[in-house]
This record gives sequence, structure tokens and C-alpha cells, in this order.
Amino acid sequence: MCVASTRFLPLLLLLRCPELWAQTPIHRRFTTEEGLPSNTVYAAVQDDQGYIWFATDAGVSRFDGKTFVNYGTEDGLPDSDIINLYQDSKRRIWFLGFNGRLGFHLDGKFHNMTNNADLARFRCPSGFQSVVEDAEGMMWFGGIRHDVLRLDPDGDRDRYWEFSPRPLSVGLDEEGRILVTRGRSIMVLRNEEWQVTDSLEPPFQNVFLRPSSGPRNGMVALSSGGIPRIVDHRWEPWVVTDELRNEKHQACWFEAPGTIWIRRWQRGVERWKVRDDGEVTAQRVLFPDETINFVYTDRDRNVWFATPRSGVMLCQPGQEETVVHQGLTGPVKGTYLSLERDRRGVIWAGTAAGQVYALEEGRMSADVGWEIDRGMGRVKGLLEQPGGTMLAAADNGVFRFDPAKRRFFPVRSADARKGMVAAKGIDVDRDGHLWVASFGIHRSVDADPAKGIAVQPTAIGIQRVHHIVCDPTGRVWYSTMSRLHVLEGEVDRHIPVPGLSDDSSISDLCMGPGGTLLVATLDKGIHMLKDGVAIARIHRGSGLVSDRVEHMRCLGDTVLACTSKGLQVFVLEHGKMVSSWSLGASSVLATDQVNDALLVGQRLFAATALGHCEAPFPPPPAAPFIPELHLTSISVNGQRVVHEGDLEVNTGDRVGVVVHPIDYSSQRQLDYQYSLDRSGSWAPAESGNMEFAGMGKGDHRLQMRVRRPDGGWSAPVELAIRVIPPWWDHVAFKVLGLLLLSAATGLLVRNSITRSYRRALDRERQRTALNEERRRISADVHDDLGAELSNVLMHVRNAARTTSDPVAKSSMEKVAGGVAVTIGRIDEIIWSLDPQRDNLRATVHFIEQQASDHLATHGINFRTAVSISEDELHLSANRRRELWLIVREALRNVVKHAKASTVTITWTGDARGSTLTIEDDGDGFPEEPVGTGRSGLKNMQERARKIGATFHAGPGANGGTKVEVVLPPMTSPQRMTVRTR
Amino acid sequence: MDPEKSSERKVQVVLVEDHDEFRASLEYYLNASGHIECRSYARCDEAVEGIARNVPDAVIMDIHLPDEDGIQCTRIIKERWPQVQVMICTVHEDDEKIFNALRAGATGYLLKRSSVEDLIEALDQMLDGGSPMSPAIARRVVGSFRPAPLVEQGAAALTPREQEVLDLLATGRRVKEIATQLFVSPNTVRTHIRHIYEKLQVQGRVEAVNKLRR
Repeated sequence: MCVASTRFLPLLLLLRCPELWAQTPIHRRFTTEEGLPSNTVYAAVQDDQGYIWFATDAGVSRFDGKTFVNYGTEDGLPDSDIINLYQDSKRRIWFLGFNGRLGFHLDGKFHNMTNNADLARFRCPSGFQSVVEDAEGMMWFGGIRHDVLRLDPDGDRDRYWEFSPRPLSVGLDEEGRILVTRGRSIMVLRNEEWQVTDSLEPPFQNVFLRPSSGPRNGMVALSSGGIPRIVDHRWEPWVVTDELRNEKHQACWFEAPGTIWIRRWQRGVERWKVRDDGEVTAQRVLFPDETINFVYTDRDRNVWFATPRSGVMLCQPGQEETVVHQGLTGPVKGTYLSLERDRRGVIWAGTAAGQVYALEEGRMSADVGWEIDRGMGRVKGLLEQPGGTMLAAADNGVFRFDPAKRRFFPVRSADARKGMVAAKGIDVDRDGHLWVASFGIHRSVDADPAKGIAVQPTAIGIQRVHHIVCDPTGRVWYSTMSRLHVLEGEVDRHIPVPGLSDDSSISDLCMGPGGTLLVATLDKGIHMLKDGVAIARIHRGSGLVSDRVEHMRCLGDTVLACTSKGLQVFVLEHGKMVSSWSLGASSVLATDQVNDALLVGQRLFAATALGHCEAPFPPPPAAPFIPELHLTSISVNGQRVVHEGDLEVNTGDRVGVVVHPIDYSSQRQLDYQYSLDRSGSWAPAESGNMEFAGMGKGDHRLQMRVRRPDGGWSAPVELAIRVIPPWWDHVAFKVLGLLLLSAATGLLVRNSITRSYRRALDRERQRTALNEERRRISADVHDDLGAELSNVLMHVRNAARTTSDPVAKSSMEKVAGGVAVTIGRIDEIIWSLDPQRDNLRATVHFIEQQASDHLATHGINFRTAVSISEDELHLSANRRRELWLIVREALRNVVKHAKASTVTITWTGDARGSTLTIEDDGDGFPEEPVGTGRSGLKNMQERARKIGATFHAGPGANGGTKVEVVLPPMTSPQRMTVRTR
Repeated sequence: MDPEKSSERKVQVVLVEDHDEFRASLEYYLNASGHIECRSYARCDEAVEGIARNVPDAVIMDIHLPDEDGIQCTRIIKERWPQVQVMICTVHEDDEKIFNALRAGATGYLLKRSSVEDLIEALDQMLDGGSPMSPAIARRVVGSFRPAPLVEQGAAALTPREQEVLDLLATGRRVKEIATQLFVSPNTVRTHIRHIYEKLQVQGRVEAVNKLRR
């Protein structure tokens, strides 16, 4: 080992060590693309549940292996720049802001200076950097420059000390009491007074960097003389070395047991394994191209590397031990297909791009592959001949390494002077001859392959041969796609393998322990044959991780099987697997896709799809995985929400739920299920990232669970969701709406009725006003005009009676007659005007009176018969007037033409229809009325039509004339009651 | 005009008419008839006062008066002086008003356009116990007597002869025709009519009492 490991021996510092190998381990990187709030990460801490919290310059982030949940000042952080994190024994996660403010997170709530009086009281002007909780539960914060704060979260022993500026850090002694390093001094608190207990002495004082606290197991520091540690409040020169003299180391983190991470000045971080006596047992530089801010190892031994510009890198347990070798040319993560170790210990690696690299003393050579013409093609097999010549089977033939020219050259064909095509595999028999699997089998003509190879006649002719292996007895075993053959001298035999059909695929052959032949397949695991007879099968049921074995290498009784689920290394004893190790993406390798592997001592070399890996073997045991689901985040319509109690959403909202077990392995596939509303049935979910939409209104209960490795299911995670219906879907609103609708309808109906009543009232008022006007005119005519004319008539008659002048008498009688006629006309006017006469009774009376008077003057008897209820039947002024005019016309006709002695007017019928008949006993109805008779009939018919009546004139029953008017139904006078407000 | 009557006590007539010219003219011609002594009033209250001072034989009543209408005035006069005969004089033969006036106690009616002679004759006939009746009025009268159960039997029941006269009047027959048909004199017919009017008046009172009892 290159580091001196003695204590108190300064002379040993003069020993020089070779420069450390700088290697990039297998890792996963998380940046803002994966969800980090920023790529500038200052620190990390794992909380009691297993989440990893990161402090960044854009808030903090909580990580469960899949999802980052980010928090900022808007969530309650004291500052967006958080430079350190710490979880205390009360589960509080403390945040140290760059602005000197403190805050913590507990049970989903952020506490800061705005909602916590203690946090509001203290602020470090230069910013706090270090933090630790002592055995009494006091929180100690060390300022970047010179101040110390004691915060008593549950009491009142808060105190703040300010010292003169010197680098300062807080830590704990072996008993968990506070301990402060300030400059080179150690200070302890006794009776509330700080006492210096020790100061670093030469040779450790020349360069002194800030010490860093470990997790309650003491403190170490970097100095130019090595790494001293604090024991019993005094400096103890622990690791003595002058490697740290060049000032290129800035900070260190001490981990139990005995791992120290040392941050380099510009790039990379050193990992020193140090025994308790100070001897450095291992020393490596990781991430030589990265600047590392902080290294944190969680409880599952995952190592997190925080960087200032590149996010966070994660090495799972053992992965930081794994190196991905980079060729001097070609891509770092190219696909490597084949490996071989030569007798000098050089590891040869062939790639899918036709390159071959030699790994010698930890460094990869430049490409030594054949590059001329079509190159080598995929290098599928590498083999060292007993003579020391490295051979390669590739797509474009067999190639031989020329040490002098440090390059592979094609092996010519003895037959066609051309390199063969598509060499799938090669092996060397006990005589040193090279056997090649190609189209048919080829064999070198001599032990020196440079002399060419020739086709070996076989039973299969030029069929495609995929694999070939020579056993110590001289037999050559080869396989086509699905058939196994053995060539013994000139005899070629097909070896039936139980379970193998023509549909099966043989993926590799190798000689196993005890002269057995192992036949790997793509679907049946590995068959074990002894002298051509199957004796065992290694498959999933017997411990193989997968029945799909794509490549296989046998190293004595150890088998390296490259399966679809990673590399499995196991030891065979009597056909049974006795020890087994799985290596893949979830352990020390970059990927599960391993194409070839080699085991050299405790180092495993693997040709993978992501490069040539060198990993420790056996790998460190993986932490047991017991999935416990956590509700990582909840979102509504894509917006993350923080809630307490039931989650309340609106109808139509999309509820996103992210549940994951905390799991930092890279590619573990998990089965999820969910159940909504305790329906009793679980439905599969594609992942832990679920979205639910279209939930009906009301309360819902969502449960989610994940399958455990043993096949059972984890305890479900529950989320109560309350879907609030839209405002218009509330019962109260519906009732209110119904009421409003009813009220509106009622109002409309009421308004309509009111309007209708008002219109009717207006009509009634107009009618009343009109009737009043008619009545007034009628009364005026009656009282004034009637009385005046009667007065005139009286005087004229008297004058006519008393005068003796016959001429005057005649004139006066004419005047008297005219006035009487005028009064008669006025009678008609009064009758037609007076609204009180708008009924059948008044009409009958008027017609009777007029008829009686008129007929009497012509000496004609008048008869009337009324068999109709006269009362209360309404007859409008127009109708009764038209009716009277019909009667008058009829009476005039009787007087003029009928020569009748009696006229009878009869009224029959009822309200549904009544008939007025005017019948005389005269000469009868003329067949062809002439003169005015014709126009008189037309007039009567027209008047009857106007009032909706039917008119008929014809001969009467007694020989006279009969005029009949059938009136339409009459109504009772409307009585209207209008209620208005 | 009968000269004998002029030598006897003149018939005392009160004319109640609001039209000044007509009232003055009619009063003049009635007084000029010789056997009539007419005094006139334009208002009901004045007429009642005048009648109270000197009760006339007959009153000629206009239906339209400025204070009370003629029907009400008739009722007042008939209640205080039942012996006074009231004749309604109107321009237009309004059966409703005439019928109401008859029920109020009037025993005759006449149109204003009638000649003075006709008026005096009608007045004389009325004072002699006769009254005119048109078919329409007759039918109203018939109808008035028809709901017998409401009327106290005997109080105002028509005699068969009166009923017969009334039925003939309702068919449009004139008094003379009825007299011929019944083989009686026109005055007898008029007397029947007069009795009918009186009973109608009683009928009106009974009906009023019945209404009050309800």
C-alpha cells in the first residue's frame, strides 16, 4: 500500500506514493432534468423515513429514488439558498440558509422566522454552516466565520456566542457533548464558559483546513502533516502523511468505520480507508473530472456526491469501487462484447465496433484492432493460444495479434487466401490447433495460425456454427442454432440434449468442472452433460436468476452466466449450485446487460453494454429491500398540492398521485395496484405515478400498494378524496334554483294575469266610460231635446186646434206631425244610445211599442207572443239596432204590400239561440218581389248577416208572409271582478 | 171638455217637472182646460211641501228630477198620501222605469209627446179608476205575480178576470179589443188594470217586507 500507516513517525512522511488512480465509478446522475430544483447542490441528508433531502441554491428537494419533491421559500424555507441540512432526534429537518436564517421541517410543516419566535430571534450575519445536535437535545450551529448558536427547541437555554474571526466548526466529542474547533484550537463548554483544551502542534499546523464533524464519532481535520483526530478533547495525529501538503485538499468527511472522503482543490474526491491505528488501507480518487461539494453516505451505504454545477451523483453500495475503463480512443460507454486475460495479466476487451483494448496496470491501451478494409466487425471472442498469441473471432474473420506491430491482423484462409467471414467462436485444442465456428467448422492447418485455416469437413456441411469448444480428450463440441454435435476425429455425432427442440437456441458452450460440458440456452437455462449424456440442468428453479443465458464462461468450478437479469457467478459442485452472486445495475455494475465476464482474484471484469467495468468481487451484500409505499406527492390538474386531512377537489379535476417505496436502486421493476372506494378489487397500475379523473362527487378512498419480493403486497397507502360538486350541483342551490324558478314563474304568471286583468280593466273602464257617455248623451237628448220638442209639439197642436185659418191649421198639423216623427226618431236614438237597454227585454219592449204604434196608425192589429226569457240576455246596441231596422223594414212591407189586418211578432228560443218571427195575415209573399221589395229583402238579409243572424222570408202558415230572423246565441252580461293592488 | 165638470170642484193636479218651459206650458194648458187646477214644482221636495199644504187629486210626475228621481218621489207621495193618484209622464217609454214607478204606487203613465187632450183624457181615466198598460208592462206584471210562494197568499193575488185581462194585454191587445173579447166595457178593463196596479203596489211592498225579513 502506498500510504505509510504509522503513528507519530514523521520520518515516514518522506515516503513517496505513486499517484492515485483517478477513476470514474459507476454512478447515476440526477440533475434538473430529473427534477432537482438546481444543479448546484450543497449538502444531503437522509431522514428517518429514508428520504434523501438535498440542499441547493434553489431550495431543498426530497428524493425517494424516483421523484424529487422540491420546496422553496414559498413553502416556508428560510432562504432559497440552503447550505446545509440536518435531522435531529426529534425528526426535525433543519435548514441552514445562506442568509443566516434557520428553519426546520416537521410533520409536513415548515417552521421559519415568520412562524417561530425562536427562529426569528437568531440570525448569523455570515451564515451558519455547521450543525449538530448534542446528547441533551440542544441544537448547535456554527457560523461560517466566528459565531456559535445554541438553540434549545424545547426550552429556554438559547444562547449566542460571537468570537473573533477564525474558521470555526461545531462537532461532538465521544460522549455527545459539544465541541468547537476554532482555528487550530479545540474548545469545550464548561459552566457556560468556553475553554481551550488543546491546540494543534507542528508538524500539523502548517496548513490547516476546517475540520468536519462526523456522525457523533469524533472529529478529524486535514493538516499539512496528515489527518489528526480529536480524542478526549485533544488532537491526536492519526494519519501521518505529507500527501496533504500541497494544499489541494479542502475538506474531509469522516465516516465510521474508517472511511475518510477528502475533497480535492479542483477536481475529484479522494476516498481513504483508514484503520483505527492510522494505516491507510485503500486510497482512490473518484470523479476526477468533477468538483465535489459534499459526500454523504446514507444508511443503505449509498454514497451521494453533491456537485456545484452538475447535480448529484449516486453510487450504490460497491459501485464506487467499480471502475468503468475508458479506452484511449472510442466512447467511454461503448458496448463491449468479449474479454480475455493473457498470461501476463493483461485484460483484453473487444467491442461491438471492432475495437480491441488491452487493460494493463489499470490503464486501457489505444485501440489495437484491425482497421483496414472493413475492419474486424463485432469482436465476439478473444482467446490466447498456448503459444501466447492473442486471437480474436469477429464478424469479418479471425484475427491474430502481432506484438511487434501492436495490432491485430487477419488470419488468412488456407483455401481462398481470404479472411473468413462471421467467426462466431474460437477455441484451441490440446494440440494447439485453432478451431473456428463459422459457416461450417474451420481448423488451422498448423499450431501457428499464421499459416492459415481450412474448412474441416463435418456432418453439417456449411451450416452456421455458433459455438465451438475443445475438451481435454481431443473432442470438439460445436453447436448450430439448436443442435449439439461432437467431432471425434473424423466422426461427427449429433448429441441429443433432453428438452432441447428445434425451436430452442443454444447460446454458448463451455467446459465445466470434472470434464463436463455446459450448454447454455436462451430458454432452458444451462444443461450439464458428461460424455454426451445430460446429467443436470441449472435453471430458475435451481437458483439461476433467469433461464435466458446469453453467454457463459467457465473458470474451473466457477461459472459466470450472463443472463437477461445481469451477471450471475456461481460455483458448481456435483451439478448443483452451491454459491451464487448476482451482479448488475442494482449492484456494482452499470447495467444488467453483460456480454462477457472475467474473474481475476477479487476483481471482476465485465464487458457490458455500458463499457468495460471492473468491480470488486464478491460484491457487497445488497441491503434488503422491503418496499414500504410513501405518498410522495399529490397534484391536482398538474399542480402539486400540499394538504392536510382529506384532499378536496372539484368535479372534473385530475388527481395525480405519486407513490413509491423509497428505493435508490436504478432499475428495480415494481408491480403496483390501486383500489378506489374499497370496491374490494385491486386494479393494476402501470407505475407508482397514477392519475385519476372523472371521479363522481362525494367521498372517495384511494388505496395503493406494491408487491414485495416475497410475492406478497405491502401495506396500502390511503388517500381520502372529497370531490366537491360544482356550485350549481349543490342541493341547496338546486332548491334555491327551484324556488327562484318557481318565484320567477309565479311572478311571470302573476304579471301576465295582472296585465290581463289590467287590459280587461282598461277595456271595462273604456266600456264603462263609453256607456257613461252614451248614457249621458241619451239623458241629455231625453231631458232637454225630448222635453223641448214635446213642448213645441204641445204648442203647435194647441195652435192648430185653436186657429181658424185652414191653411195655417194644415201647416201647423204638418209641423206637429213632423215634430212627432222627430220625437219618434229621437226615441230610437235614445233607445239605441242608452247602455241600459243593451238587453233582449228592452229590445222586445221597444220593438213591441214601435210596432204597436206604427200598426195602430194604419189600422192593423198587433199581436205579440214572447216565449223566451227576456231578462239578462245581452244584446249589443249595434245588434239590437240592426234587429229593429229589420223589423221596421218588415212592418213597412206589411203596411205597403200585404193588406193585412193583423201582424204577429213572436219571440221563441233561449240563450243558445232565439228566433224572431214577423208574420201577417195578408196577401202572402210574392214569388218575385219587385221594386223596393227586392232591395228591402236584400237590406234585411245584409243586416242579419252583420249581426251573425240568419234571415228568411217566405209565405206564412196562414197564407200571409213570414219573416224569420234566427239570432246567434246571446250571452249574459259579463260581470267582471278585477282585483288590483 | 165636459162643461159639467168645470162647474164642479176642479180637479187638483200637481205637476212635478224640471223642464221649465214644458212645465209652464203644460201647467198653462191644464189650467186652461177649465176643470183642472194645476200647480207645478220643479223639485220633489218642493212638490212634497206643496202637496202637504194642499193635497191634490193627482200628480203628474216626471221621471227625471234634479233632487230625487220621479219613482222615489212617487213612493214618498204614495206613502204619505195614498189617496193621491200619480201618473208618470216621460219622453220615452222605458218599461223598466215605468214598471218600477208602478210598483212605487203610480197608477198610470203617459208619454210627453201625447197631446194635451190625450193627457187630460188619461188623467180623467186614471181618476175614474182606469189605467193604461202596454204588453211589455203586462208581461212584467205577469212575471211579478208568478213567484206566488214568495207572496203572502191573499195579500195581492190576482182574480181570474184580472189575470185574463193581463194575459190579453201581454199579447198586444188594446183595451178596446179586450173589452170586446171579454164582452165588457173598456172602463171595466181599465178598472181591472187599475186593480192590478194597486195589487202590484202591494206586491212591491210585500216583496220589500220579505226582503227585510230575510
